[in-house]
Amino acid sequence: MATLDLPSPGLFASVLDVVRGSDPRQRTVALAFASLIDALNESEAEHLPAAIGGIMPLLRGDLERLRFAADALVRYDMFEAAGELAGIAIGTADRELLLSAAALCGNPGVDATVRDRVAIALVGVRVGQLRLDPTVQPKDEAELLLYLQRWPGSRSVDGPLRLAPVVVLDEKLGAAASLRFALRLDAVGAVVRRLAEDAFVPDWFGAQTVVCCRPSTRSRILSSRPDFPERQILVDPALDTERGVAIALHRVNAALGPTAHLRLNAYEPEMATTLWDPDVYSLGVYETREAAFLTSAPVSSLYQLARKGLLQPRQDGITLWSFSDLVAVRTWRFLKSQSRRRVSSSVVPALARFAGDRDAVRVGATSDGKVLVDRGGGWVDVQTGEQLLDLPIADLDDAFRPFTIGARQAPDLLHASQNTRLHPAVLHGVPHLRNHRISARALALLDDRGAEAAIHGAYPELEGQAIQDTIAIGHQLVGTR
Amino acid sequence: MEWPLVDYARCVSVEVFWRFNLNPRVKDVFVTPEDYRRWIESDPEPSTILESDLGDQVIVPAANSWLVPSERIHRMSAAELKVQINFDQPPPYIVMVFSVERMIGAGVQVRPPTGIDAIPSRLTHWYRENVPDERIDRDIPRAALERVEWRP
Repeated sequence: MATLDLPSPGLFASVLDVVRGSDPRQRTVALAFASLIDALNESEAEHLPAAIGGIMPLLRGDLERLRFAADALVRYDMFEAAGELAGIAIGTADRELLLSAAALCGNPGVDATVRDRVAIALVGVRVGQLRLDPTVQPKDEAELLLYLQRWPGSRSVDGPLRLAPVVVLDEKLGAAASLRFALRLDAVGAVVRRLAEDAFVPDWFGAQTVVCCRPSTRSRILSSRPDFPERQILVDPALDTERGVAIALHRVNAALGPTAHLRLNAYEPEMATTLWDPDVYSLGVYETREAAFLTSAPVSSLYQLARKGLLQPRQDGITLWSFSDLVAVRTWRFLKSQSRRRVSSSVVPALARFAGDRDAVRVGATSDGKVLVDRGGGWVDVQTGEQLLDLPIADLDDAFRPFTIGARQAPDLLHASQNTRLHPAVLHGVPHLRNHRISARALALLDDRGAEAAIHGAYPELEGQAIQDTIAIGHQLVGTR
Repeated sequence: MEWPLVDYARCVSVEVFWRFNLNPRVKDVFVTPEDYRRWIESDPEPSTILESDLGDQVIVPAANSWLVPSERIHRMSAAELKVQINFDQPPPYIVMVFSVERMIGAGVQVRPPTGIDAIPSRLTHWYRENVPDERIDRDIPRAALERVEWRP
């Protein structure tokens, strides 16, 4: 049976609702589109450019909103809608729309006939030609500024102009995940470009560009741009969860280097510092029951590790564990869950002693107790400084994901549930409600005393917010249910 | 409508400033608001650049002319401003200050807003005295502007 390759009526209606319901003088593109983009499934995400392009004729009488919609197309590089935008821009002869169309047509994924139509409409307009064609050379500083935005392959590390870094997203990463990632990249100050599957590799790959792609696209880029540094290519970033996105943002930031940093605290305040920062990694205070829940280890195992001297928890009337203790035990448990062979407990003191590393993008461990960091150039042994290849290394990011060992379940360490977060620098590291300084434990205790009424009495700002999943985590932490 | 008795201010995000207030010749060379923001942040005197980049047209059209007494937001950081004026756009902010003298000179009069004023911009979270002493006006021209402030 033939299927219509068009956005659904519901998607058209949702996009129209977003654009009509947003006053461009009061809202940003990201604020307007965030809820919609976060709710899209794969098919809807694939059709979003067509849906935005499709509603544009309805906005002919509202130039401000028309430009707003065009800005959304440019912001997330939805080049698939270039034809629709070009048609409207040429029809209205609006200069801003034409320049937006030109920006979109700079993407090599756009049909050449569409690009030619826009080029003809902008004949003699230098800022239009510079957007469209990398062979048009800038004549003065203002034009150079524009040129380097459009064609960031020409940027150098120490260039005098401060511009937004560029993150190129491979079309093969999947529409929904890419769009959600694009939304967050935009929020933290990156400019997004999307690399079409069959198009030539454009002049985007310079000192302030990072690529997120599939392995085949990596080869394609490097064969076309052999000078582009490998450390600026992130292959197969996990973008399917919020935590995966958070890790990917950190990796992009590390790959960008100091000249073009992202503003990670704009995404979530906790992200301003990396977990591996020595000032963060050593923080966190957990009671034994909490540590057991978060590591999946029985309480008796924790005490046993302490008795053997492998961990040295604080004794302050009660036993208190740090975030580094948690990571050490959890990684050991994770390695055990992945292997039928015996896993040495030597990884526990090694990770507990690890002081953190401000430049680490990833931290890993081997089953024989080596701790490794990746500062963007591959795994290095923290003790010897030796670069390690071909060793089975457990990335601690994987140990932070949920896993099962025997009958015990380890929750996601940093995102225990949809609305629950953990960061060692926030509330002494205890699981807490996202974007609030309210611990899951406090919510669970209030829930026990008087359910919703008690919670809303103590925290009226939570009325109408999704908190049930965090309450459930709180109950697991205190062991009341 | 009444003549203003105090200086007023209007606060916008970089994106809204880029979209509506930039001189078109300047906007021509900034494809995204983020690029404009980085340009501003790289300058030691952002306020001066912002003022020189302003277009000649009406700075604030009537439907968006929500003004707050500038004294109320004097020296506030962007984070404080966000709370004070119940603003959902992300910082940093650009504050356009309209002095009494310039407003009167440009024929700008003000009045307290009503619920109907909230409709064109769909300000669903607005309620009376949500932002104390705020006023609105008809179109505010460039001539009423005293200065532009950068609030990172």
